[in-house]
Amino acid sequence: MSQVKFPSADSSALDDDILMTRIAHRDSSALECLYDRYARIVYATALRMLGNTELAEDIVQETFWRVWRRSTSFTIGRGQVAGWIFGIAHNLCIDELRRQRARPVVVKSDHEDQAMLEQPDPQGDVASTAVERERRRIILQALAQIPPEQREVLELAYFGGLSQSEIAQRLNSPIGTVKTRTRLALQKMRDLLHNQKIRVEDLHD
Amino acid sequence: MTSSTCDDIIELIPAFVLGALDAHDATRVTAHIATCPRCRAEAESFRDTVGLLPYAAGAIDPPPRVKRQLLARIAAENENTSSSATSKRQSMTSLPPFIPVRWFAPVAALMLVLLVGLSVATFEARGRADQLAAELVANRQVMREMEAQIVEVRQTAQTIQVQLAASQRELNETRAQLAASQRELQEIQASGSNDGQLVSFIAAPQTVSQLLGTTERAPEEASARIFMQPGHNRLVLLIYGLKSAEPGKVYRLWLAKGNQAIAIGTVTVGSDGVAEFVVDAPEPMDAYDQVMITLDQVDTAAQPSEEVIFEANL
Repeated sequence: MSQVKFPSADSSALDDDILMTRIAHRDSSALECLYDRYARIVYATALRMLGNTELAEDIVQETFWRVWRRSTSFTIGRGQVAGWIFGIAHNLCIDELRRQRARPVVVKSDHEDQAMLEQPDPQGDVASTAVERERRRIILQALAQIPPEQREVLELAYFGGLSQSEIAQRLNSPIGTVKTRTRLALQKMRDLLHNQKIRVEDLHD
Repeated sequence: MTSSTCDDIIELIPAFVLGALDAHDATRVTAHIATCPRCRAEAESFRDTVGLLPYAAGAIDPPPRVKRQLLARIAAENENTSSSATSKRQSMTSLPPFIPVRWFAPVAALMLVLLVGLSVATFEARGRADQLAAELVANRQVMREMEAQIVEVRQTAQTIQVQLAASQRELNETRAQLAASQRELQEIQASGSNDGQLVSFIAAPQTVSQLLGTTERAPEEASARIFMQPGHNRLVLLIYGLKSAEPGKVYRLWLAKGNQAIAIGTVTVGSDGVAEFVVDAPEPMDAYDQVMITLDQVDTAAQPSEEVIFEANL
């Protein structure tokens, strides 16, 4: 399976895998490096999902705390440190959202209806690194190329933290339709990103 | 692993990697990809796509305190687990090297010492505050997890209650069936003992029997016989070859004494054309001088109808 090779987050700094190895040896400065590299993305994602700065801050801290605690369980050498970190953060956000839904009180969320492509990036493009901007461009471009109804399902699944049946309920669509849209959306995204493989690597070099 | 199972699972993998499967399906997929390399590879193939999705949300700097608190939390952990970490931290926060007083008046020297001490205290206070804040975040997380567990336990309890209710319903149904079976058994036993009584009554040496006469209303093959014992009230009636009464009508047995006819009971004829009827008359059978079986309306038990099927003088 071919993989898109991400440009390293900071060309002058150490490889993610090396940082992970150091973290596994209890080097907190390596964790700091990883934090500086990805906390901004984790925070933006958590804010998007939870719509609450306090909760999003907790998610960032808890994510990197878990990176610190679980670094030994991470398999070095697959070049997927970022995805692993985002996965931890995403799961924490989903847990939080499910807790909120299980409670009768709804936690305020002020951006629920914003679509993925329209999300403002308040400090973003001023403070973003070139790498972040490039990755954002690639993902937004791919998202722009799938049909809006598929994008909507993807948004609700990933950033809304909703399950397939919850999405079906939300959109008042048959669950079969939701399942098909999710599958087609992600398959198309995967194919688009794989086709960009050479360009992404070129950018890296 | 059959290919249909794989096809079924592969459909679910995109939602699985997005974390959007319902719990039941997620469990199925997890179990399947643990043993199926093809489906595992399919899941892997989405890894980069999903890894890029967070960038769609942009990049926003979290407040600096988040990082401070994180590092304080790590430092606190190190303090708890390693004595070398403790000494390292102490050397970081120890007083700066001694500065000779030379030019300073004693008061100024005191001021300097106070200032240095104050800044160290501030530094330590801030470190302590960060550490406390980090602990607070950690505790909040623990609390949220406990809340989630409580929700889960509540759900489990609800499920168990539902199951319990279902089991109780089942138990009640089983009980009802058992009761019905017992009733049936009792009826069978009762009818068995009736049959036994019937046979012993008919077979008794003192029992006399009499064939009843048929009218023109009786079917040709119909016959009726009564059995009784002198001085006793019991009467046994056996009928053969009669059709079941049509709806709204019944066969009724009458005993007559002089001009007075008494309705003794209604006789049910089975689909096989047979009726067995046992009854104790109000008086010993010797008291009656006529027996009659009529086809009556259900509700007219005062007078025998004109439709007499069998009759006999006793």
